[in-house]
Amino acid sequence: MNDNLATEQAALDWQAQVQAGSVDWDAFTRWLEADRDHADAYDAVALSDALMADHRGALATVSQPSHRFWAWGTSGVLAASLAVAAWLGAPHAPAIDIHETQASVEQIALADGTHIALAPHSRLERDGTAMVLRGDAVFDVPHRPGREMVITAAGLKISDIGTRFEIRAAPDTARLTVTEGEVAVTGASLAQPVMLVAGRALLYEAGPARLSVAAAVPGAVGDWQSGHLTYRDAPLGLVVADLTRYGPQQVRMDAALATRRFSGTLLIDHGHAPARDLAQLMGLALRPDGDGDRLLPAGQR
Amino acid sequence: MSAPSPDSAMMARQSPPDGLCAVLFAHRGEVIRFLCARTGDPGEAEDVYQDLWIRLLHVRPGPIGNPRAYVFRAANNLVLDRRRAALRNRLRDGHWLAEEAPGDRHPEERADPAIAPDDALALQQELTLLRIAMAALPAGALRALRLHRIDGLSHAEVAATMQISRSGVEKHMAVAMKHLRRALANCGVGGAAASDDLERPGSGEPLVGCKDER
Repeated sequence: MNDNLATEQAALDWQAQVQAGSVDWDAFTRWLEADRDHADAYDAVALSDALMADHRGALATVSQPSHRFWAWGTSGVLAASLAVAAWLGAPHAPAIDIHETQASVEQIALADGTHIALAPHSRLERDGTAMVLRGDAVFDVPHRPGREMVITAAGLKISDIGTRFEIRAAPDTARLTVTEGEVAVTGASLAQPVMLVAGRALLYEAGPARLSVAAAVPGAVGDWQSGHLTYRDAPLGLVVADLTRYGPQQVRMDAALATRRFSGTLLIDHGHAPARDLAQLMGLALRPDGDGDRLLPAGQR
Repeated sequence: MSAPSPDSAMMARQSPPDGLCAVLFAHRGEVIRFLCARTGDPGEAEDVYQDLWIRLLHVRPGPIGNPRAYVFRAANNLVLDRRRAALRNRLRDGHWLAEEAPGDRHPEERADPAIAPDDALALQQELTLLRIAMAALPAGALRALRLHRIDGLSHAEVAATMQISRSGVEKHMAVAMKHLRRALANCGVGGAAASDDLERPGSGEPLVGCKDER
């Protein structure tokens, strides 16, 4: 048993020298030749090194107990990220960067070239490459081998591999659409990680614990930046939530409509009335309701 | 050992690919000897040498201070690439992350594999392999591994964080490597001695069924 540890230690030592560019290749060759076990041990060190480097971001998230830390709380999130950092023994105090929007969009540019368009009424907390999102955002992330960004939203952890993608996060649902590249999605309630590739969209509903993946609607990522919202077979509740965020006023929905789905495009620019358009397209009624409107089954008063 | 090697300073000023191929050719005996030791298989060593030659024909690096070291490092990386590709093949053939049967417990529908590029699925499988292998590590080894390889702390910083000695850190890392080596080997990677394993068709066992020969 001790012999094996010595071999592993030597292999690690050789790898450190290789990585540092200071290795004596002839001496390394002789060590590899000395014992078949040496070569096998080094093989594993080099391979695990490469794998861990490439998956570093995804691995950085604490897996099993994480759903306790990354709960959807208002005040809990920052404390949770600090707690996680303390558990990992980070020698420095993390710098938390918070962006929160009201009625307008915020464009966020990070030093590494990442660009984030934060939608109205949304909140992004950032600690280095770890982020927590409430609301919607479009991400443009340049690829950096060995560095991954991890975004927590609605109970899911999304790790990017250098991509363009959009997250729409509500307390109990999340929509993720990828335009370029691919992202990995994990979560406490997912049996296994899901990889979402360009042209695919994911819908996660925490309540019924349902996750579905389908073809993305072309041009849908960040469509709200262009004055329209496009859907294909989207649960009506999500459309209504988007209208509230991006449209002129609050929209609510009668519970009886929860199973309805909508396909189509709604114009949300100034001068349009998307809730009225939606009601017409779906044959529903729209009534004033407090500070906004409410969608109802047709014929109701 | 053999004839004096070309003036490395002159080589460094040459940027055309000829320069690196000439360096490889000048050191072919040593490089092939390294590759034999690294892969444990003379046939594979020859393959990698040929592959390396072709790549060096097309690469256009900037000025290189030590062309011989560059060539050795490239050879080492090529072997790593092959090991990683073999691991991915093994994961794919073993049907890791078997398709979920429609049901209530974990109802998920993954992206259509016919559309997803190979790399996306392979990365997912690699990540799962890593997570499960790491979950099986003893606590100290796991913590040292995370601090060092994920958080990027040096051995000295890991020692300070864990309040143990540097040699304690090195032992933890060695334990971690021993476990990871076994986890990777059980999925078919491990050098020429295990190449027969690579040829065996995947058993289709789930990742958690990996044999643990403790």
